[in-house]
Amino acid sequence: MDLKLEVKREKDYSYVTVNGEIDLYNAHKLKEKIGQTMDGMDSPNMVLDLKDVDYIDSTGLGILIGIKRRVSENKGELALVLRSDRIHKLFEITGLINIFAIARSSEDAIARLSK
Amino acid sequence: MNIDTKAHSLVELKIPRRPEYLRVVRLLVSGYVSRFPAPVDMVEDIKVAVSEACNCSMRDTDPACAEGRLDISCFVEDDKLCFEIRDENATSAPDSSSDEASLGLLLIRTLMEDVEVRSEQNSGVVISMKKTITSI
Repeated sequence: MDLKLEVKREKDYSYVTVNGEIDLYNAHKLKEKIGQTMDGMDSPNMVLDLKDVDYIDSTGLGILIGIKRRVSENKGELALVLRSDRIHKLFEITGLINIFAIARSSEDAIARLSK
Repeated sequence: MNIDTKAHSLVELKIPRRPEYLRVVRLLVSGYVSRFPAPVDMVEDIKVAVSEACNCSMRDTDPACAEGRLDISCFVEDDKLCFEIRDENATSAPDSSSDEASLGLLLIRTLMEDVEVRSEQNSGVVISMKKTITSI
């Protein structure tokens, strides 16, 4: 499945929904689109909704680390929405589960931004 | 009678060394592993690991290697599914200096067994890995 992104700008955060597979072939699209989104954000906070991502590889994980760094540099918060146990397992193996705020639902992710 | 399980189970795929073929690799691995009574988690683990091994080669930015090919072999030895990813153009082990590369190697070593990276004279670099077949 091709990678698709949808961006919604709210007052206190941007909500980016990602669909499809993220791998070495298309991860640069994610990086570019998120970069463009961050350039125009009123608030530095972001929710990255990955619940409809079927597959992510190390390239995608590396890009998430870069996004996290950039959000932090802008004094913002980043929360991820993850539902797939398979993808959750990759976050556990790589230790990224300790770096990212991870929620099971959109509501929880938005709530974590305000904490 | 001894049966050469490797020869009887061998499936090979040759792909251009380009990221747009990664999905083809994942489809091959899913299909191959699904022939065995393997749990879905195991299929997914192998798919991730083999795809990461291909990433190791495809991340190489050496223009001289950009148009090479990768050979992916799947076979059975004893009670193990075996996978070899051969990059004939590579001359050294994969670079693990970036976040992505180190994460990829970590995933391969965690998800699979007997992981080896070896350079073979005039045959490039081979990443091999195994997984014990467990029933559903």
